[in-house]
Amino acid sequence: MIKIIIKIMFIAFYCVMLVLLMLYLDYSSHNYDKKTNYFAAMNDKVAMLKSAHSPKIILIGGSNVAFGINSDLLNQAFNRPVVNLAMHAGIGLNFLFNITLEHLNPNDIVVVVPEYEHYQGDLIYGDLALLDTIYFYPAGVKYLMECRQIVATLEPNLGRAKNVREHYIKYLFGKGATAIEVSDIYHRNAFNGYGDVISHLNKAKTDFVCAGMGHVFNDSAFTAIEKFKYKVVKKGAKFILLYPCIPESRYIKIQAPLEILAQKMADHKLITKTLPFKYVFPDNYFFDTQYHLNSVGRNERTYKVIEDIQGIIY
Amino acid sequence: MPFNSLKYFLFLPVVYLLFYFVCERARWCVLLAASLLFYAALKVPYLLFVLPLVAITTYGFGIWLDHVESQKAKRTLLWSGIAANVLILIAMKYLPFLSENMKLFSALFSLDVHIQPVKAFVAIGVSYYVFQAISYLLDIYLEIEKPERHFGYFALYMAFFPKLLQGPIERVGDLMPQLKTPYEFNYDNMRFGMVLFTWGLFKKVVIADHLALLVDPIYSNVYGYKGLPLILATYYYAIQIYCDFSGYTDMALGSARIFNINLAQNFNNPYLATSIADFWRRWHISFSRWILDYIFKPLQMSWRNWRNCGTAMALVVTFLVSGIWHGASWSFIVWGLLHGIYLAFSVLYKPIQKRIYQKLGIEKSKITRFWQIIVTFNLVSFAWIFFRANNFKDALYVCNNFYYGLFDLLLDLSIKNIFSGRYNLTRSLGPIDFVLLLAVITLLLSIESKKDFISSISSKGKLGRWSVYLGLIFMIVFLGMFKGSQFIYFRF
Amino acid sequence: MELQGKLNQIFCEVFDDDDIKIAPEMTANDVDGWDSLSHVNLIVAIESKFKITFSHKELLSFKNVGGLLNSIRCKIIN
Repeated sequence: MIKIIIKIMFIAFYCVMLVLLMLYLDYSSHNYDKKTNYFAAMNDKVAMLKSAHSPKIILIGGSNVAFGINSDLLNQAFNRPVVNLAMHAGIGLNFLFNITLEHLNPNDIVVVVPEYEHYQGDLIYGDLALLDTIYFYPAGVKYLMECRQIVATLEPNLGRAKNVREHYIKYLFGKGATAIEVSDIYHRNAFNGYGDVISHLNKAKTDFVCAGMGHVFNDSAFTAIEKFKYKVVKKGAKFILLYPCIPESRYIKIQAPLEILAQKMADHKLITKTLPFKYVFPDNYFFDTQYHLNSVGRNERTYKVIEDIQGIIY
Repeated sequence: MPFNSLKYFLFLPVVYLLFYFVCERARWCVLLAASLLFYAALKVPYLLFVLPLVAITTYGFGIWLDHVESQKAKRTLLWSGIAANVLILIAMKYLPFLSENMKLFSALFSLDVHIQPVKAFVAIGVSYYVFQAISYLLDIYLEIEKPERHFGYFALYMAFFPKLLQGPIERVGDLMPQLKTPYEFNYDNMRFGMVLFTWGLFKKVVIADHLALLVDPIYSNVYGYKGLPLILATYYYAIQIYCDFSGYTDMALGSARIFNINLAQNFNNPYLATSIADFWRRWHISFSRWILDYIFKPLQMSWRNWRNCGTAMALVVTFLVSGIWHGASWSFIVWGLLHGIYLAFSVLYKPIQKRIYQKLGIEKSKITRFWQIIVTFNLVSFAWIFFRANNFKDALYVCNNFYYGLFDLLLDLSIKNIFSGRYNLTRSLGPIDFVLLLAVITLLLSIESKKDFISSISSKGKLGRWSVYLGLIFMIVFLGMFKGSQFIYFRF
Repeated sequence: MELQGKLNQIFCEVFDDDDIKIAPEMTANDVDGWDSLSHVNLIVAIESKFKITFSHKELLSFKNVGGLLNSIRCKIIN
């Protein structure tokens, strides 16, 4: 019996070494310079959050919030500082929830706008992007609080092998692969003083694909949001959950699952006054993905957000 | 939780440790609790109601069946027990299909029937344990087995987590005695189980999930393709489904083995089959034995006075049921029927075939066997079109368009052309990945065709064994497709 | 013995093989070609030769040739 325990431990050690090797190879094939990497901006956002005076507005979500809200309009409408914590769906929401709770004061307003994918699978806990974010913001480790969250965060990293293969095979065959370039949109300085992404505003629209949506939702995502809402309210702050912005052509594809989602929202008493349709916009309001709005779309969307926020404070 | 997830890699050792350290009398509790937790991890709450419902109903009927004396009462109880189980299965799996088709049916006859659209239930595992329950009742009725009185062991027999989601379907005579045998640590079983599990994981994440990248783009949009891509996607799918399903089964058997439980073998080199009948003795063996014993044989016996025709009809009906069991859609039904027709045809054709081979003197020749394997593989692959296509219309499209341009292609084929991307052979995979994949598949098929190859790995020297273990793990980590395999920026 | 002899003859006819020698412990796997088809032909031949009928339950629970023999014996006697 002892013999096999030793052998198993050796194999486990070997597996961990291989995974670490794979992570290392993946890192060395990308640009992980903290001056220019997009995820390094988490440091700036947390700094903004620390220095903002209450009562403030905090925005949480995926890149639909990063690319799709004009916080200046919010600032003018409500006369409060705005902090946009959102960056990428893959950071998950739990992480941002935990950061927010630590810096929350009475009369703050928390606006949560998940992407539809956050309600399915384990994305609410985060995936590859979260680990990258922690790499640039090591203090963020304290916000990974639950076991389940840690497992869900680490698990997708097994998928990095595909990136490694693609990169190194190209390299082996002399195609001269270089570290994946920093895009002029997805970099650390893409954000303004509120934390909104503005680097895309004067760029031309590119084609994007609208994904479908499954019918199966993860009930623990709704529970996690409910728990967060409860804690926010307990601190004397206000909470609002909204539907993300999507193009019309996607809405047509996913109407059936959205009906199921809207029903679940009503059952959990999370969103009762609006429907997903409110945040459906024409395709030409979008920039490069099914969630990123251009400058026109962004403003239109922000007006609707203002309406919804007014609904809870007045 | 799927077997190829981090959660399961943590779950299995924890369950084993608990199982090992607890006293013998409580071991079944550990396994049962673990099985329920495993099922709960699917996050579909109503399934945790369905499983106990099936278990309690079947347990009750089993004891009652044994208790009554008269044949008539036994028959009534048997059919009631089967009906109860089948009703549960229909309710979980077939209501949406039935309600959609009722609409069609009523439209055909201009009837104004209002049928509420029925939501689809998630029914993972239900088909398997319902069938297992039915086999239990039948074995009691035929007096092959006695009913299990200990409800805990019975529940474990139904819910045992390695086989819960995708089988194998276990006969009570095979599994129950093993569950009750006191556990004694067995080094060989531990090792065998872990190696088998790793092998299954390899087949699934390195081969099947890679092939999916080639198959999915084509089958999710068949109308965008004509000719060769459709053929290739179908062949790739034939290998994908084998590696996926047999990989899953290996992981199940490997998991069970570490608890000293030998689950039924489910695959035996199916693509080396020399006939469709032989194929069904090698593919999803626990399921095909089930339909053989409980549907085919009784039907065949009922119709025995119609000789070959009776048998042919029994085959068609049996495989129709098989199609329905696999899925609630017309294309699955057609898939099943196709196999039924293949078999019915071969029943009628076999005596003629035997005479032809005897006349030509090639009955036992290697070339004949080779030819039979190729023909069988192609018949099976053709049937997979219906299994994989999203719906019946798509499947028909593939059937009508796969031979497009084939003649010209055969005239034009050359290595250069294959990799030039002209024939969509390597779409979604670079040429290197494609060659690697072919190499791995060939390796796989030749390794698996050796009997007991898992044991033969263990019988090699220390260096040989460990190179295999470490090599497999290396390939799994670096060549495997895991959740999150999409490049980060795709997630935006 | 005589019963076994008659049954043996039926086996030889059905499987088209004069070298078959049945024994009570034999199961389906032992006789070359005793797959589902031949099984049926065998039963039909037995039923017609001995003028008996088997019930479903009996047919599905024969484990080996011995069981078959016993069942035939009982039916002839009755």
